[in-house]
Amino acid sequence: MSDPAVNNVEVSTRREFLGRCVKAGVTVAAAGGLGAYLVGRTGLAGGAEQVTLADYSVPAAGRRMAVVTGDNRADMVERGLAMMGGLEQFIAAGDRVVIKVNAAFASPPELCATANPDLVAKVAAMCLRCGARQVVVTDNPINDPVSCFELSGIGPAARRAGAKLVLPKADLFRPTTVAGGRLLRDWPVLHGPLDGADKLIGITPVKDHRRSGASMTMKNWYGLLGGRRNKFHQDIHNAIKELAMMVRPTMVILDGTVTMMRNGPTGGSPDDLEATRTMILSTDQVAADAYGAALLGRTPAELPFIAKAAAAGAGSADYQDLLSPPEELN
Amino acid sequence: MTSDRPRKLAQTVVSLCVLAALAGVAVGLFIKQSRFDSGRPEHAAAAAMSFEHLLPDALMPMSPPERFTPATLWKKIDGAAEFYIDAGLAELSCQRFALAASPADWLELYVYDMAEWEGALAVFTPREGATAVDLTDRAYESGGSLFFVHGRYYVEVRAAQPTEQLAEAGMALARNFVAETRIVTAGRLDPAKLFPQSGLVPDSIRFKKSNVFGLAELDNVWLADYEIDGVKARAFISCRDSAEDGERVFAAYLDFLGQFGAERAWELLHRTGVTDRELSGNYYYIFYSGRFVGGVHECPDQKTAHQLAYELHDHVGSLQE
Repeated sequence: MSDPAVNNVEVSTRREFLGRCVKAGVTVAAAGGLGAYLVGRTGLAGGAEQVTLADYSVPAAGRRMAVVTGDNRADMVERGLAMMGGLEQFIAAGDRVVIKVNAAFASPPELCATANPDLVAKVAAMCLRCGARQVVVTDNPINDPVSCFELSGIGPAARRAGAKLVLPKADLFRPTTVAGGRLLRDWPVLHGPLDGADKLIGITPVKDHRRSGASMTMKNWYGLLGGRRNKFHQDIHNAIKELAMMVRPTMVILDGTVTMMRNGPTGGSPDDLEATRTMILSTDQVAADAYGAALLGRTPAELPFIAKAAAAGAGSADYQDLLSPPEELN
Repeated sequence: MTSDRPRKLAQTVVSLCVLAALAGVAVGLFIKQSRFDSGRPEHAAAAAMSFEHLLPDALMPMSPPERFTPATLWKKIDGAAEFYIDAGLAELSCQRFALAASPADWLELYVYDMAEWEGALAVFTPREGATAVDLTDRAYESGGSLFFVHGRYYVEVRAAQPTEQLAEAGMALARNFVAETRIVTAGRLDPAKLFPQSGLVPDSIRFKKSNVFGLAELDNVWLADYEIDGVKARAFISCRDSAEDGERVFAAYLDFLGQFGAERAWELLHRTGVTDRELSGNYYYIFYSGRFVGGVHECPDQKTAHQLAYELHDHVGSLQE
């Protein structure tokens, strides 16, 4: 026979133990649940629905590329699109077209740190002439978006051309994960303007860049990212590769009419610029960047993100087979 | 039973502490997550440096002042941020101003507080085609914009368009900034006195704050370009905290070159503290002398590298006499 008093103590301890376990479990679950709820509330990660960007390419068009030299961007892009077979090969009546510009900085168009407003307006107008039901111009700039779009001239130009300007509000971001990617995982991307879009065109200038060596069409997709995206500068070449994996555009337009040769990506003086008089249009963003490297006096091999993006299947750096002789305008 | 009471009390206290900590975590999460970060810069007008007292009559504010710390600098200048952070940036204050007579014409003032004069020099980058201006001892105009160093500040007055009116207003603003912003000049090394003059390329002396030549141990370095009998060479000098630190950096530099396969170039006995290496047809000389470490980095001609290194060594020695 055991001592009843001892038994009472044992029973009491076991009950207490179980009770405390339950309380601790409830506390941990409540704290975890609250954390998950709060994280989800921001739309930064978790909670919000994951999205995958659509494929905006036109398979029937295949790989195409056109290079035009000249000084007038509007004329050059018109000629380049004709060399690509005509914009109607890419834009169908009723399409909703998104133009992702580089509007990263609140910088005047003369300093060429952002997409040229005349070029953006021309492409937007041409898309509308092709029967596009809507043309959206967007970016998630580094600086204050309103200042960036207004001072760069892109906003007024887009509106004049009949395009809709979409600024990057918080509720337009959704988390995305790039399949096979290591960096872009559960990361907020500016998805709102792309939701329901049929075509995507990237327009960006050729610029020197202190971290990546060059800012061209693939780097332009960096402007779709939200959050503290500067962390990707620590592994910039792989980040650009994953951006190229994330976005399959209808076409990219790389504007090297004037190139920011040094002190990029911000520049700050016309002395940083050179008239390189070249515009590259391509369905293959890797090929466009490989060609554009020469405008900065660099080879594709000096820009590791080009080979990485090609190896990841985002395109091919071998553009020779795409080229007809560049056409000179003016 | 009575012996259980203190233990139960202790357990209760511990439990309350744990719950309090969890509540603290929850509050922290709430505060953090309630501030959505879409990458937008904050207009921290209250904390930003005020410039309005510097405004000439021709200018009026166009935007509120902004302030960026090393943690937020990317929101203003993106891929260029690390360049300034590596050089010791404390903060960037900036603001746009428009011409009062023509509000569509504007400029933006960027004031990089680099914490030290050397840091400001490290980010002062000469531009091709620039014109020196009479503002500070390091100042130039390029494409209608001004770039200058004033004490620990590196300043840019960026004009949206290269017009005469904006240039004049920008210069007036810059002059007011220089006049009104106190700086400390005592205790500065005069970099012009650090290097021997023979063969020195004018205006080539510059400062690198960190990771010089890719070597983490080599920081706070003055660099200068030379052209001797048609051969280009780059000399460097760093003033260390102590002679021991100089010797440590000297050894790290040699070890660094050794990792790439560099070998002793000349079998001649060098003076104390001077040595050389050869790597892929380039010559490297390094010495330490008191608190100074110096040398010639990556020169294609051995004779030139040798001559310059010894001139530098002797020059540094004379500075310490």
